[in-house]
Amino acid sequence: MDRMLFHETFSQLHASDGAKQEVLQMKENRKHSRRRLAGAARVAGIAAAAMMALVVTAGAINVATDGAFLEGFTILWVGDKEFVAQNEAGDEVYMVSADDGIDFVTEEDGRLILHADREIDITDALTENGSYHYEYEVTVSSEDGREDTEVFIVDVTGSPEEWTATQRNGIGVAVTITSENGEVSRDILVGAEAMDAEGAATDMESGGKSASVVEYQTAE
Amino acid sequence: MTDSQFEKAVETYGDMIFRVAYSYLKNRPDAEDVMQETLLKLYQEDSRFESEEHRKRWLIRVAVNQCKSTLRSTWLRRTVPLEEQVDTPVFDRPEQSELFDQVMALPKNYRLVVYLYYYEGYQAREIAEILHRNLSTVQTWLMRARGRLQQSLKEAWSRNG
Repeated sequence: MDRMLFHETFSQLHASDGAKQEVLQMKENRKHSRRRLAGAARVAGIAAAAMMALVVTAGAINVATDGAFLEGFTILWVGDKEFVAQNEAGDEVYMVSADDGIDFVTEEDGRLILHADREIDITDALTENGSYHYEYEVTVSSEDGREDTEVFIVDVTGSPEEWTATQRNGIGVAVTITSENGEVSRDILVGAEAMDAEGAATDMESGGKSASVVEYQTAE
Repeated sequence: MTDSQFEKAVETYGDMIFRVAYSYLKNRPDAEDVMQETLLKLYQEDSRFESEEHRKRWLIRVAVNQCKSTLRSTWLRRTVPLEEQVDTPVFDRPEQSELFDQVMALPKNYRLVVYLYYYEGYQAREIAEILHRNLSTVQTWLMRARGRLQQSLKEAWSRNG
């Protein structure tokens, strides 16, 4: 690739003078910081979901919000795939899982199906090898119109009867589904450990936040 | 760090941090937030840097971590996109615009290593050190990114004559 063209192109990408001036002011007093929870949305009408509240002791949402939630928080489910993390001050972060849902591996008519960019019957592969690995790209759209491509990595181990499937999305969130003795359980792992499959290091130089596990269940 | 040292750091590294963040996030407001937070971390950092290069690598690393935090806080907000977002610079020449668009169409890890390699001039080994990744991972990302860019740019430029 033409390195000169690359340099000419990206040298036209500048932070605004206003942002630079602002940071000089921000250092004087961080209370003037315009930092916000990027993409965080205020969610109304969650009262009906209050009965589904699960108090979570781990700090996963602290990680997810870069420490913005410094105290305990509560997870309020507002749908099969949507939840709100709410701290004691009433601040909320609204999250929605991917359209294809948390259950990216399901048992259907005795077959084990991986729901990725297409449906894949992994029963035979798991029987033969005891593991199955799949990577695919997902276009993720934000409400503000942003789009980006994420590489999702799925690893399934075990047998078609008892298995563990983990889906890592490349930005520090891993969802694990385990099927054991006919019971299905799910975990979300947020933070550096969730990125291990990519070989990511811990965030030592940004203040180092440990990974946390949120155990959850969907409402009946 | 004194005020004048901080002002100099903003001048010296502000755009570099912004470009790293923009390469990762493809979004000006978030990239500017990352630039500011990264510089404030530098301001508050007590440790001494062995050299300017050491400081620069530290800033890149912190900026990338800050970008990841930003993405985590918007975890998979997967909805119908609004109008096509227009948040790109205006370029002097069409080939610059095309190159920028094609780089931004790559997955974010590819974009980042491509930027560090072609703009900042780091070798794959150095990028691996900065990002705390395996060398083979960085080499793979670079190879795939180059392959995709060659193909997409060839198509775009032949399309445009």
